[in-house]
Amino acid sequence: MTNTPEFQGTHLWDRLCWAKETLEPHQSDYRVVYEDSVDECAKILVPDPNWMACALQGGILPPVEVYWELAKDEAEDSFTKHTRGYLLHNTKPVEAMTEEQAIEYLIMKDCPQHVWRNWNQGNKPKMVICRKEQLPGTREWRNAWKITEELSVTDLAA
Amino acid sequence: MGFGTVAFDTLQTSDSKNTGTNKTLDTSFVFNGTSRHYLHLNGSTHSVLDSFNNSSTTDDGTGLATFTVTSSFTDANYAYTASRNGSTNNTFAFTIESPTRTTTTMSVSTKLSAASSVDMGDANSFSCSIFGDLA
Repeated sequence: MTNTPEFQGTHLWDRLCWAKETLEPHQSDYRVVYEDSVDECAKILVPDPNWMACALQGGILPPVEVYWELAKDEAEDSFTKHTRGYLLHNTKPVEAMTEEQAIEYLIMKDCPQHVWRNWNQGNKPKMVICRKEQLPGTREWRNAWKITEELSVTDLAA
Repeated sequence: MGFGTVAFDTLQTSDSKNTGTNKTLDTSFVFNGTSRHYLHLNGSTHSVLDSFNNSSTTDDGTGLATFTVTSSFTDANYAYTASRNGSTNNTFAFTIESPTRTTTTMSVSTKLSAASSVDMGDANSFSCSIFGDLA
């Protein structure tokens, strides 16, 4: 097991350079299926294997709340460029995660907040974590893919 | 023996034999010209074949994808290059557009042009690279 250097205060880019040279990519079988809008087909989020290696290693990635702070800045009408990028580099990195914890982190980072914060508000879930084998084998009718109506929120909660 | 860090501001060639003058290059020029994100994607499964500074890809539908970076860009004015390989049908030309982008995400669409139509279409594989300043 490779030990992660003390990275707090190191630019996140430099940490990723270290990880690319040092860590083996991890191809996850997990996929996140979510519906961003009722008018659009389901979207499928695929974790990046190099990012997943960083998450499993620990001590590299900033807390997900940092990305939320930067997203808040970017949502301001007066936004031109980030001035709080130091949050990415100076905040204490998160410890090693399990693959499942990494997927939860990734959902909170890369899925729209209105999806994952309200995934179970409605007649059917807006978001489902599954394995890639559970997705259709071909891309036929890709733009008609939706989360099945037969999946109830209470079933998933149980 | 471990290797340490070499800090330098300028690279200088020993080119005087050939050109009569040495050439120098500021190291910040090298750093600023480096790609800050790259990605090679399987177009049918959307699994990542190789990447750097990428946290996830999202399959948004036929010919549509979104990439999210790990180390954010300082603004959304970065430049990108992209290419695709092969298609699911006979193609005469293709275009890649990036209609929406933020400091952390870039959405792209691939359009395939056949004899008499232009449609969104998946590629067998897709590559892109982004140049810009990081936050």
